[in-house]
Amino acid sequence: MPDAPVEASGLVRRFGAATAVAGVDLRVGPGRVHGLVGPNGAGKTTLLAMILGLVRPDAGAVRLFGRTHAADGARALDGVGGFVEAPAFYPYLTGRANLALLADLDGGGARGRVGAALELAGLGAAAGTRVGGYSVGMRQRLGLAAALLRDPRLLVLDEPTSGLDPSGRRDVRALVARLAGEGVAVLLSSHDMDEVEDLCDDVTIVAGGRAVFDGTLADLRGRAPAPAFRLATGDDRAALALAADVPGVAAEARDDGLLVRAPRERLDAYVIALGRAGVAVRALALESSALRGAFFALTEGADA
Amino acid sequence: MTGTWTVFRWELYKITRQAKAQIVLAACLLGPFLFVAALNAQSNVPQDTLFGRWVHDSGFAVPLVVLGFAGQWALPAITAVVAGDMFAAEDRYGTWKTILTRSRGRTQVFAGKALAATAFSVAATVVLALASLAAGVLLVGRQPMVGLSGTLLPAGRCAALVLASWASVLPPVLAFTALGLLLSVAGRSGALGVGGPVVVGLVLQLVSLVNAPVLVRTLLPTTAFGAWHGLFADRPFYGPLQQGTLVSALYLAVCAGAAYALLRRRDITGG
Repeated sequence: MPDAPVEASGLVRRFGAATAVAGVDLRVGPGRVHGLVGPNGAGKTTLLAMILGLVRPDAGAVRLFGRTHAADGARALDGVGGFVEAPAFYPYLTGRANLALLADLDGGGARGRVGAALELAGLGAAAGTRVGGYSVGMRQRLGLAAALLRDPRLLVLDEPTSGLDPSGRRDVRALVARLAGEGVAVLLSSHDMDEVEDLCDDVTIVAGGRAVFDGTLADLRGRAPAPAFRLATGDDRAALALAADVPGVAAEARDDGLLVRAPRERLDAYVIALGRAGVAVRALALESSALRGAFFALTEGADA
Repeated sequence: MTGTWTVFRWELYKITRQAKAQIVLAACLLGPFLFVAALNAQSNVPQDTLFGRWVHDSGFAVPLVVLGFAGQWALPAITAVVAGDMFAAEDRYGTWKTILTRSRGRTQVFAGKALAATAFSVAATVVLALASLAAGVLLVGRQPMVGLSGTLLPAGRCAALVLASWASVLPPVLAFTALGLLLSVAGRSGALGVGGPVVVGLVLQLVSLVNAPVLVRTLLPTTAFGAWHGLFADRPFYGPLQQGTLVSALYLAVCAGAAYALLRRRDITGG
């Protein structure tokens, strides 16, 4: 059986009196897209930094394709590409020069992939511009290009769509999905549960430095509460009363209408019942998805 | 070695793309000519400097006067401009995590950067030396010069001694380069890395001026900047040069070793 792209066990890291990561296990299988999710300060970035060898764990071990940073040094990152926090480059060099520098540090055939990586990241036209003139989104794209230069079998991405416009987010998601389809394992940190739902096969949710959930997306969905919807009607009082008569629907009054919690099929029944009762539905919008609800349920209070 | 060479080559490229390095090299190249032009425009000479009284009589006195001034603060400053920011720049740009997640280890990154800083320090010193010599010879002349023992030194010997004098300051220059590297790693601040060696150089000059014990003065890296004086005696004495070289090597080893140890064990968070 081949070594897993990421096999981390019992990772602990303290900074002074604060414990950033308190005993986290993480396994990313080949070709899997693994979401790492958690609120700010949960320990996600420290976890990724330990995986990439930037921060040494106080306890626990990281294996990347069976190699460790302690035993294998820089070779532990063979076949691994990615970035932690916002990708950073030398602002006085062009995008192409930055990638050429990194390609030379990588060695092998990386130098020959610079042009293709820039094109793939949508930066072909800006390759000759100094990075100091790049927008946040362009730097994010350059970070992806730098990761792809390494022809990775494991991509470690820390909020890769942060700072991108909607089309950029769509492109990055498509790229991640395509790479995963080609067998590349992806460890993806994100705040965006929709992104996780779109891309990930597995999820680890961290809060207060601990993993409060580790499993497949299907497992997480199974533990999710009913999604919440904002509902505006012609007669909110009547709608609220009617909700009590529809099984599986819970509604509460708010200043701007009603907040309704219900699985989608029960919501359909409720909306039909509103129509039959002559209550007009003026607006219905998702307030919080099921996964987001699960995320809040798992992480709130976990910091304590 | 390939990895170190790759890092070294790219660091040199980065240095040449930065305005501060270009300005320093331009100042080293043009400064001596401006200095001689200013001297020629006035009758006064810097008499309190060794060979200062001869700057209107022999062009070979010019590089020695420049060397006297440079040893006080300019050489530590010139070397620190690049060395003091060599590692701190990665913190400032947040690029540690970019370069340390590639296929080169920290040892190779450190070695390549340290060699590039060293190369710049040597290059700047050589440019300043040759520019000073050229400025003196071209604007004042190739006249013989009076040595420390009062005998007249022919032009050819003067040129050789001037070059040897400038070569003799390379060990302390490298010691200050290593100090800049250490402050750059430890302080993670370009201001500390660049300003630190200059301040240290000035303070140590002050210590040597206030009648400090001989042992203390011997152990100061700044003392080595004046060790070339003995070359201009009729019977040259090399003791200060040997002591200065040893002391400089000691500072270089301690500072570079400490900088390497700090980089090896530091966590890359944020930068």
